[in-house]
Amino acid sequence: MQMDFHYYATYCAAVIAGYTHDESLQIAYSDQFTDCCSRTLLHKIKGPLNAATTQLQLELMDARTDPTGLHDITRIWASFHFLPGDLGAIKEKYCGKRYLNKYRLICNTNGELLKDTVELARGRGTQAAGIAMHVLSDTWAHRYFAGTPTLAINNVNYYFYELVPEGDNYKEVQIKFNHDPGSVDDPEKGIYTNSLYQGNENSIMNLGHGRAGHFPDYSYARYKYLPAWGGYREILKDNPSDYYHAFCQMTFALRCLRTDEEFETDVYDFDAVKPWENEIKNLLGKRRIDASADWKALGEKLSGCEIEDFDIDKYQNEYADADEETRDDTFLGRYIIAALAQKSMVTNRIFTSGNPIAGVSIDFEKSGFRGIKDFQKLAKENGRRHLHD
Amino acid sequence: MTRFGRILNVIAAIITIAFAVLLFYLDAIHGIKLILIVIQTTMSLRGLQAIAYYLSMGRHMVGGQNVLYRGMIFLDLGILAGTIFEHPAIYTLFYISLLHVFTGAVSVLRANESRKIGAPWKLKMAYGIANILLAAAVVISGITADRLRVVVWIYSIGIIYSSILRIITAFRKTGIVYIQ
Repeated sequence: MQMDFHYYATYCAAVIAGYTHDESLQIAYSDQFTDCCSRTLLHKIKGPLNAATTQLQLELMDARTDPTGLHDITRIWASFHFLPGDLGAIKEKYCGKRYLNKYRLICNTNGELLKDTVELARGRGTQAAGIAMHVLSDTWAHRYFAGTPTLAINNVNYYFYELVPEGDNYKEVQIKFNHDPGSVDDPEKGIYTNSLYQGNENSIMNLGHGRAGHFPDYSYARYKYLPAWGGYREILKDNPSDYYHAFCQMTFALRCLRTDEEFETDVYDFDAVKPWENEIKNLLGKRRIDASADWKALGEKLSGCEIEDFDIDKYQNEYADADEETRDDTFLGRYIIAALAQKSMVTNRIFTSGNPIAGVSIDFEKSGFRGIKDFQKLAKENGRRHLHD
Repeated sequence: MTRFGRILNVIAAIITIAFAVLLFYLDAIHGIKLILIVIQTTMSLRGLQAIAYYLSMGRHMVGGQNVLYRGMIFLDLGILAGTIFEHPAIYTLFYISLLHVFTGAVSVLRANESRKIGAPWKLKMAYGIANILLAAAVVISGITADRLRVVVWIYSIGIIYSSILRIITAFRKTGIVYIQ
């Protein structure tokens, strides 16, 4: 997904769920910031580098793909962008453990981890809610791809067709992929940029939907292809429908976080969204690269307030200038703690499922504090929460 | 990384360093031959590794046969490398200098990109320049000055450097604490 959904659509969902304009903006900001919070940015503001929620292209090119490097990549991408749908998934035909470990990281909607993600955000402020909404909506856009470098799961080949609406039917247009990172995707000609084919299983080119480029991120995309893991069975992906489900699920999740209602998977707040259903479906289906303007107009109609443009620098000075004691109470301070909590939770679930790809998780209650120092912030926050309780 | 993984990494790194030190004490011709054996073994192992990958993972994958073909080609190249065993110097020089130039150029380009976006870049730049200088040293000492021992030493330095990195990685804290 892109900024149009992560920022403006999230704002709309938050307003429908009953949040105020300012709270909705903060949730939307935190959602979009999850695509910006790289190690480079954290280095600039002197934040803990292990709170990174994304990796820039350049960082990815530099990333090591030895076991330690793979742990780091998987923690970031599986925790925030490709939440695994079923950590105990079984393949019909026999396959080895090594293959199964990768197969089980395939992102999908409505998994147990989604419930854990939303419930983890409860009581942790708008920043945690924004991160949870990012994770939730990406399960719809990124389903069928895994948040770890893997050729055997994430590869796609020439059999990749967009279903373009034509009258009452659809015409099939074969997608042409090029590898020029400087070129702009062209929906009219069906030309999109993707990552290079690399035969190495763990090559960074095989991370997530890199082999299908940005195409799965566009809300209008309806397509069919042969996923590498699918045993030559075609998969049909209908983004306009999936994105509408994502929006209604986000509205429900935010309502749960605002009230005491428990979040359940596969529940959508269709009723609350009903008055704007046609408008939303219409803007999701339009074939264009960026739908921000329409989402922004809808958001302003919903709240009656102006939505400011996303500004990546908005809270950076507040964090960078704060002293050590007050830093965790700034907007980005709270965002960073929420990000560390999400990464810690997802890594723990993957590790305890017997899957070593995201590395080791150490239970604080059993073993005390060990491991990466940056996570001491989590232990401190946990202490503060206990005191508060 | 598990404790067992860390121990394995450290043992592998120590063996590699011992091999590099051995290279320092060999005469040039024997050193070059030993390097060629390493290249030959690496390529053959890479081929075998790709074939094993096909059997364990690639066969479940759409288009996985490509991996099998690649494995067979690498295995072939590894065996081919053994046939040039009698005239190894020029091929080894060519291989080592290309390796350093390529690594250096990529590192310098990435350092430039990092500098533009405000990311740390100095270490990458230094690494890139050092690699290009090493490549130049290989060419000058091997071809111009005909001092093949320097080529062997440079190869050894490269091995020692990556082994040290491996040891550092093995001791790095990598666990994530989980707080319920």
